[in-house]
Amino acid sequence: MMQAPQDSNLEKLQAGLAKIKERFVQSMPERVAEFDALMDQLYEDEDTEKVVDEICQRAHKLHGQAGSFGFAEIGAMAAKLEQNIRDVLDGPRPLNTEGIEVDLVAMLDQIDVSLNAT
Amino acid sequence: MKFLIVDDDPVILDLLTEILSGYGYEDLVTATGAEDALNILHKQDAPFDCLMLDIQMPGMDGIELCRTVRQMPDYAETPILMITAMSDKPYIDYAFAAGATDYTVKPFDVVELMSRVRNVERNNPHGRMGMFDPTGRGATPKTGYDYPVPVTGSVNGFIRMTVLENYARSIQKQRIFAMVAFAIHIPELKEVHESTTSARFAKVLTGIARAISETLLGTQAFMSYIGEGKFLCICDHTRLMEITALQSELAMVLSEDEYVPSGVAEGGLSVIVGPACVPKAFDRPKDLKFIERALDGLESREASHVNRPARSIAARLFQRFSFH
Repeated sequence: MMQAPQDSNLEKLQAGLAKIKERFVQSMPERVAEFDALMDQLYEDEDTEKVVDEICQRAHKLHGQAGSFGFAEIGAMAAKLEQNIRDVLDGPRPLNTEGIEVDLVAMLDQIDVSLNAT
Repeated sequence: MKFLIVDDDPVILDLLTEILSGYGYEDLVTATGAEDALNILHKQDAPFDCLMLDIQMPGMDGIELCRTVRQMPDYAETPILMITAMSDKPYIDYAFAAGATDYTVKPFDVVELMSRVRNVERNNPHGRMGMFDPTGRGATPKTGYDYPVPVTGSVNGFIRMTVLENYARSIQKQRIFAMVAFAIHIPELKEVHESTTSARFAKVLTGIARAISETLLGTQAFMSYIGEGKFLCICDHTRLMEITALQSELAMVLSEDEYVPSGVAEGGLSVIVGPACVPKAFDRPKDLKFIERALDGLESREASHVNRPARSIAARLFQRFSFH
């Protein structure tokens, strides 16, 4: 049967989680740069559907991760972006990406705010 | 417990591994996709005790993986905990229909996650579907009338009561209120239970379960037999017909030999359907008050005798014209 961690194990657990969170925080500048590059591709009339799908997958991961590390606002913005993309992808063609760009910029702004606050 | 954790996100895999290790679970295997997971499952000599599956993954998704795993004899009853960012009701419905034991939405916190693991561990000994031995023929002690016999065979929507509770909590936790609970009582099951073997009783229950499942087709219903001749159903309230109409229709369906052989109970089977109860905004998901209200409502309805049980037309005719 599951036991609550002993004090020493609890410290080990907290230290382990802190390390993973640190890696998450350190990965953010690269992720932001990748989102920026994808947004550029949206403006450049590349394969919109493929680009939007890529943004959706990345937003989905961020949605799952961010809240687990205490960045609820980033997670919420990523969830909103992900849902918006799914709705757009279910809609008519050509895809209207205006709302996606707005949500993406808002999410990137939130990442700046949240990470600067740490 | 030995865990297989499947997620295409290495950060989540690290996180889950760290948390489970911190709570003393050291026997952990990870996979980054469904195909990877299936390879691992096929190669293992000793089966895993619990699977944790993400839903949104490239290639085969977690729901399809869950369905595939349930076909494997070693994993027909293994707890499967879905851990996913997908919080919409259709995903929760699909996951439980595919065989999930529980469902938790990312982001998760340690306390919530470990409470789900504890829940899975507590309910593991009986498994998810824990088939009632249909070949018992009295070889095993006969279970009491109040025993929640798991429905044998794969009846669409029928799951164990603990899994049904997990489903209700998962939906309610997402503040999705488009669901309703109600209970169904077949009073003659007491007579059937007293007069027949466990195997025969289980067979009758399965027939009734099929009839209920058929009647609730299209309502995205999940159901369980809870003992004492009662079934609990949870479905989408926007798709549910009026309770009185449901009671009549179910009585009619049960009168057909297709589901329960005629003569299983003298005078046929009657049906009492309790009131439909929806979760209230202030109900806490863990309390499942709307289920409690549904069960209490059935008792009140039976006690008040306001609504007489609906009998099949055939049974009513039989009573009217038979000589005693």
